[in-house]
Amino acid sequence: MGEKGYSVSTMNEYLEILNMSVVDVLKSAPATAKFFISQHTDCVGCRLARFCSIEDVIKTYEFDEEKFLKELSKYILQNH
Amino acid sequence: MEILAKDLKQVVVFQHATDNDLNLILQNSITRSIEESGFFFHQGDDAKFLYILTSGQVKLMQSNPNGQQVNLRTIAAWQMFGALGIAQSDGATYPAAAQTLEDSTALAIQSTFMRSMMETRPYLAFDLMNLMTAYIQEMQARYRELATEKVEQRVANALIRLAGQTGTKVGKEAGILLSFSRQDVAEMTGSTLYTVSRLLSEWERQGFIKTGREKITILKPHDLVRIADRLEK
Repeated sequence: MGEKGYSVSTMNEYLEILNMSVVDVLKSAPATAKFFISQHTDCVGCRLARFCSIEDVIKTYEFDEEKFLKELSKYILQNH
Repeated sequence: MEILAKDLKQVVVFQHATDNDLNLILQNSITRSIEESGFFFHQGDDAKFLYILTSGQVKLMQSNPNGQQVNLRTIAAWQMFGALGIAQSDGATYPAAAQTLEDSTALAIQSTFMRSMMETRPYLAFDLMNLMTAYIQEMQARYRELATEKVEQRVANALIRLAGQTGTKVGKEAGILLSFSRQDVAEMTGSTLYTVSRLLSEWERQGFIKTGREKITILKPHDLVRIADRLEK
């Protein structure tokens, strides 16, 4: 087990998502748009989305990182 | 609920009124209750009464000929509204409508009666003047914000457009680099160099951006979008 109690593979996956830009996440997994809207972020349709990483979003809106990533990855999986 | 003279002491305009004054006012007023979303008066009605809200909440709103509305003020209990009939002689009409936000009750006092009271009681007139002055100052502040924030919105939008089209991400935390000067931004926004400089300095102070020679770096994209979009609505 790695940090914070999740498995190393999950942690790697989370780290990868953290560094992705919002635009890349939305492009590769359009289902995530629903998730961003449900969290009341302004990301969908934002003109600067390509400059923000998921990590930036979590920091900006002060989300709980672990919870946010867990939910977001569920939506990403819907597209794979 | 019966309204007593001492209750009226809470009304700013009546703070120096004597018990005798307050009793006179009570004797010459009627109680009106209006259900939620109803109106005490409409814009353009004859301003025959002034009101003291005794319970509930009322919004004062003005419409333009196209039906667009602005909310001028929200009235809470023991505040006076619709008082312009006191100062203006015959023929005054309400410049705004008074609509309740919840079931509300108000004391309606005849404007002509209040006017005649004030003619012999300058302390009441001065307290009304104080209230009107405070309203004017608030409106001046809001006007200033409207006038300046429009530019703020335009400049924020210009930076976002520039970032979207030409910005480059520098470093992980460093931000979005724009190779434009303040003069460029002024020209894009139909604004002046002075105004743009003032705004950019303010944003730099707040940590949203960093400025350098012929370049602007956006450090907090979200805050800039917030400025641009909030005001668009």
